[in-house]
Amino acid sequence: MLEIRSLSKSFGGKTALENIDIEFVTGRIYGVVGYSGAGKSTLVRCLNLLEKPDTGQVIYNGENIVNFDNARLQSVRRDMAMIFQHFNLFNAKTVYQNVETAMANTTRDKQATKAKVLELLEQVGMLEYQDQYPSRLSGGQKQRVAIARALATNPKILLCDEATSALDPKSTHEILDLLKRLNVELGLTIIVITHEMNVVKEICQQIIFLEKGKVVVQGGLVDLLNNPKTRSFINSDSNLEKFDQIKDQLGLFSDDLVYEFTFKDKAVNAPYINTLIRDYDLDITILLGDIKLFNGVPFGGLIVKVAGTNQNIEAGLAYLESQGIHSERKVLT
Amino acid sequence: MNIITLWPDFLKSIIETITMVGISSLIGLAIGLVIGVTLVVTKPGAIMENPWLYFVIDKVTNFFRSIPFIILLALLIPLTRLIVGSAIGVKGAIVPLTFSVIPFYARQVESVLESLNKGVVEAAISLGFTNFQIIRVYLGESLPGIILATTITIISLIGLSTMAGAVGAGGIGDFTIRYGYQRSLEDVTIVCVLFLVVFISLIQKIGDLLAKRASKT
Ligand SMILES: Nc1ncnc2c1ncn2[C@@H]1O[C@H](COP(=O)(O)OP(=O)(O)OP(=O)(O)O)[C@@H](O)[C@H]1O
Ligand SMILES: [Mg+2]
Repeated sequence: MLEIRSLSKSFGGKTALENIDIEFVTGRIYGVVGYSGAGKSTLVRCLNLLEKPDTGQVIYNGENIVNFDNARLQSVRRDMAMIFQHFNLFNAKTVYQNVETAMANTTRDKQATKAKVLELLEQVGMLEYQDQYPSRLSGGQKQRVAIARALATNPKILLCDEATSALDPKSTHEILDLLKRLNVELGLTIIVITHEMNVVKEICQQIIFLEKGKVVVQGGLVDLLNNPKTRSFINSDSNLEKFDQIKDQLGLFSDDLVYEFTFKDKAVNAPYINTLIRDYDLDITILLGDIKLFNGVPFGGLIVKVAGTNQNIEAGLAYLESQGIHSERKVLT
Repeated sequence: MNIITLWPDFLKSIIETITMVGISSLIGLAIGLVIGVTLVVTKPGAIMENPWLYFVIDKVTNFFRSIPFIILLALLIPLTRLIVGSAIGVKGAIVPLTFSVIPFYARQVESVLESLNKGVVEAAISLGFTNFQIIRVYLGESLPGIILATTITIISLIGLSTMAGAVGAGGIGDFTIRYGYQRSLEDVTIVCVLFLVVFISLIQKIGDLLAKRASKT
């Protein structure tokens, strides 16, 4: 339904996106992730042509929309709503009017407009605030209003540029829940830009990892975890990342063998540590551990110190690999 | 007290001032607003980007902005005759006053609209708003700033109108010069100054109040 073909964009000679190809499937939740300056915002802004690509196509419903005239572009944009990090509500308008004004081009009937505005405000849980001005609302409430406004034109796609980055963890969670609900109830395709791993883990079904304007990995979380380029990014909110900060305080020697085990799904509750100790005669000291839900699927990691004969260690690690547990030696210096 | 004997003249001069300022601000503010908006929306990168139109309006606005009013008055005499049939009197003053208020107000409107958060404009674009609707967002969101700019413009127009005596337009400035200064009637000067102070403070107060009411933050 929505597709990007060999799209490139640069700003004054500086490349922001380079030859991007992505296909977005209806009804899925996509995460566009990557470090700052990777081109995430530019990518999403090219979708609704807030930014015009230098070359390449944006195909929507079988048509390349890049060179659409104003009127056709406006109608495409009503199909592709957007919400922002800083909400960008109309501050001179009440909550009700913010949503109402977005409907001017799609619904002419006064009665129908009113019913729809109230329905949307109900849906995002902001009905009781309909007469308030945005300056009176909290960040989470503003984003709810922004979502209601974005939905006013019955869009098929919702673009979210760091929509939860200005919110506290609780509001973030609530907004993500709302987005998930809208995805299910309305069949809305959602494209989320974020640098927050918890957002990715909570809602994204498909991930596009950008680096320096290029797609590095595209796929599910497992694909990102399996790629050494993206694993540390995925784990950036994990306990295990603290290892580097605390390793000096653990009293380790530089020739100690420290491994990070990563496991997922069923492996999470397999007694493999026990097996290593019992069947391979290894001493295992657990240093750090972490288990997270990625979009409902458990992923875990463990940092351990291993002692034993070289032979046994090698055999033990091979056993883990055969169980779908990946191990990686940590550098201690 | 000389002001008592001159009272009818004093009232007449106030009416002249109000007429000059009133008419030239009605026309000048309307045109200035349109030009200010045009500058903002035709700028490179803006919603109705039009480099050629922007260049012309920008330069013409700067040109008129840089001419002192008293010189504009003289410069525009032929044009004034053409438009209102006479270059003197209240009618004769309205044309140059209007010409000087247009660029002044246009620049103020431009800077008020420019200060609107770009994200709000992007939100409007992303909602599929038409250009006309986006301009309404610009104006609606900037209303308090526009009201304040209007207030400042009217006050500065009152200042300019006192120079219009040079073309025999009368008005409070002319009255003060003729009686207070040339005939050294000090009480006339004092009353006129007091009147202006009160009048201008009143306008400022009304502007502030309206701006505050329009502000929803
Ligand atoms: N309007 C612009 N003018 C000039 N350069 C720009 C513009 N927008 C983006 N860039 C540049 O393009 C590159 C990609 O920017 P972009 O905003 O897409 O990154 P991002 O991944 O969204 O980063 P962040 O996480 O910081 O938001 C950056 O190098 C940025 O400096
Ligand atoms: Mg960004």
